[in-house]
Amino acid sequence: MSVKIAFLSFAHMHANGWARQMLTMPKGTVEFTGIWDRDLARAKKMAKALGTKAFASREALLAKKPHGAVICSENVNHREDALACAQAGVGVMCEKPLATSVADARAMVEACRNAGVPLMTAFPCRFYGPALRLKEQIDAGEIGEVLGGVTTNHGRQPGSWFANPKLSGGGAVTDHTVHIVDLLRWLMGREFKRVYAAVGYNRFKLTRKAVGKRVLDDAGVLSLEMDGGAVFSLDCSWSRPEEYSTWGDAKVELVGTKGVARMDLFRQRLLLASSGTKRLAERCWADEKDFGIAGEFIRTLREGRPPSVSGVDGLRATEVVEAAYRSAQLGEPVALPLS
Amino acid sequence: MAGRNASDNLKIGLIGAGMIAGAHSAAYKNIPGVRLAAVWDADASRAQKIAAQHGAKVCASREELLGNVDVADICLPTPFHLENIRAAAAAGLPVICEKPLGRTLADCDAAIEACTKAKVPLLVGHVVRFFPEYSALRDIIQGGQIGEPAVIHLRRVVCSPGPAGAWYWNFEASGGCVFDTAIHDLDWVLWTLGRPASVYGLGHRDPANTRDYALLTLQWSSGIIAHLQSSWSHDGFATSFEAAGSEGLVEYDMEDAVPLKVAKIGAGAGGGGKVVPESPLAKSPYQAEIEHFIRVIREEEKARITPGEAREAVELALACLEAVADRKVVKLGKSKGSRPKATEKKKVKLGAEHPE
Ligand SMILES: NC(=O)c1ccc[n+]([C@@H]2O[C@H](COP(=O)([O-])OP(=O)(O)OC[C@H]3O[C@@H](n4cnc5c(N)ncnc54)[C@H](O)[C@@H]3O)[C@@H](O)[C@H]2O)c1
Repeated sequence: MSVKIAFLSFAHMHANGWARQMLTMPKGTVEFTGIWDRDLARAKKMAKALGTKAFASREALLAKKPHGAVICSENVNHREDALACAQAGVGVMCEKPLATSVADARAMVEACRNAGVPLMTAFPCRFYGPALRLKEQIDAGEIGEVLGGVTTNHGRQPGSWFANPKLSGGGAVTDHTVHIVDLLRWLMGREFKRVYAAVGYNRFKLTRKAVGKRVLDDAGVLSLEMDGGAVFSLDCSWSRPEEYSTWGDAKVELVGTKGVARMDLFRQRLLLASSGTKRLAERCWADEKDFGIAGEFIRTLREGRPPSVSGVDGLRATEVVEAAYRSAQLGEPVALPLS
Repeated sequence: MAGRNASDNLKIGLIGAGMIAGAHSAAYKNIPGVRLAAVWDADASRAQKIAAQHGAKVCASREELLGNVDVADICLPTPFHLENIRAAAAAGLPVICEKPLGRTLADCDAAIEACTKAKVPLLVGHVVRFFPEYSALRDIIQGGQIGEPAVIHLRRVVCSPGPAGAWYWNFEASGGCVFDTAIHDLDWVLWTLGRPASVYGLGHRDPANTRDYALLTLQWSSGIIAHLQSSWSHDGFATSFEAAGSEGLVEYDMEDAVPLKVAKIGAGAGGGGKVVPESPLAKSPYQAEIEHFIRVIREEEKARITPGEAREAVELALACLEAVADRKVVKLGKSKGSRPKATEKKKVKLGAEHPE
């Protein structure tokens, strides 16, 4: 039986990457039910590119009874789209951040739980070789007890709706906190208990160009305390200029009682300079285990088991984001869970 | 010291003959017109070792040393800086002293007062200003090449100071990695960006198991954020930094800046090769620093590190310690120190104020 997948929006182009991955899976693994998008023209274009149908209504697409739907709408629309899936009995893989507020994330988790459909948050970092090896080594005690570490998930201001907080829910803190928060929770098997955030607004040229008169956070350094006492920092800034060699990074340095680990997730790369690239450009050749997060979604649906990366994982990461904004406003650390 | 010129041999007296004294004495060897003349250390065998390398006299007491030299160079554990600065100043000698100037602000004030009264220079070894990569970073930022600075990372990690440096693990004495090690970056930050408005910190301190680790976040009212990683829990010494601004980005990692690697075949474990990495400089940063100090003592140059700045670095480091200990935001008021106008000038345009 092939797993039937619907796509709700290509606002985030990760949907395209996952669709392409699904197309490379063994024949008969996946079947595309169709695409719905708030932008019908984009739905039509993507449907043509991926060899499937565009739907003018989300409900009409969900009525075709796909097993699962990939949600890559603008962040603020995640909730509505996920609730529609839950109502239709369709499993969900939602692009990160799961939601733009803890209340929304909770509503999504509850709706899917009540409907008995799986809810996954798309945290693909867990499926990269270096992350898997790092987890193996931490679990084997190779670096001893982890005291803390420094992490970064730098990015480049993506433009389009990302620069509009009405659609994105926020800037760099919203966009680039959750991957690392999820990685650390997964690596350490513990929850965060306190967040302090130093946040900057309209700090970078690309943001200033993209936001017009709006104000958007594009710089952030979070200080995170975990249950058990480990301490971490996370730089989520959209600080990579256009001239930089790549879009950003995902780096984790962990200091343990027996050793130190430094992971640069996308360091498997070539450096290319050409008249085409204009600048020194990175070409990453890292790969993902078992088709990464897309593979996990398909297996989850086929095997009818809970996903390894859940909606609750998305909710926890959303909590850290909300706490970070609150902390930046108060100028004080904020305790988790949020009251 | 007025009237002394480069042809005179300036006699240096080294007070303390431990680890950093090694770097100082090596620098004196390469500076013309200067001679390491005498060494004193509570541990005579240490004094003996350095003295023998440089043909210097081993002194039995501080007083004996001070009576035989033109300059006192203090390379002692931090809590002993003040007492020795006072003695040297009282003897009318210019003072070179390792960072941090003192373990407390009261110590710093007393040290500054003693040297001011005696009219002798007090030159504190904030050597990072003489590291070419750090002065280049400052030039890039102050020259506006990354626009308005936004997020700056400074990483300085070392392995646990071994048994020879046992005093480091006495927190009252050394102040741990924040006070002793991050102070290098804190001085750089003050030198480059001026005084931050607040600091926040998280840390993990376990002296019994020789572990110390801290993460510091500094914020300026202009919106600049600096993040420091300071560690005595790593596998070795390493520094790296990154500064992102409105118009650009600059990054550095010591581990990538290795222009020479010589591998000896068969010398490594299991018959493999053993690589010896090197980053040679014509002049070590310690030599550049001490040459500058000597020129100041000869009145050929104005001091690039003032006692007031050394005090302010201590003040900021103390604020960081407080933030880490109490896990809270510590706000910094105006400096009581005497930061001179010259280092406050900023060519950098600063960003918009925080909208909230
Ligand atoms: N600039 C740098 O990069 C740098 C690097 C390391 C240390 N330091 C600073 O230099 C100073 C010395 O550090 P170190 O690593 O050389 O320490 P160390 O422990 O290696 O050496 C200290 C020496 O002082 C002697 N000593 C201790 N107490 C004494 C006393 N009361 N009277 C006389 N001698 C005494 C000891 O016998 C020892 O030889 C500290 O303030 C430290 O913060 C600076």
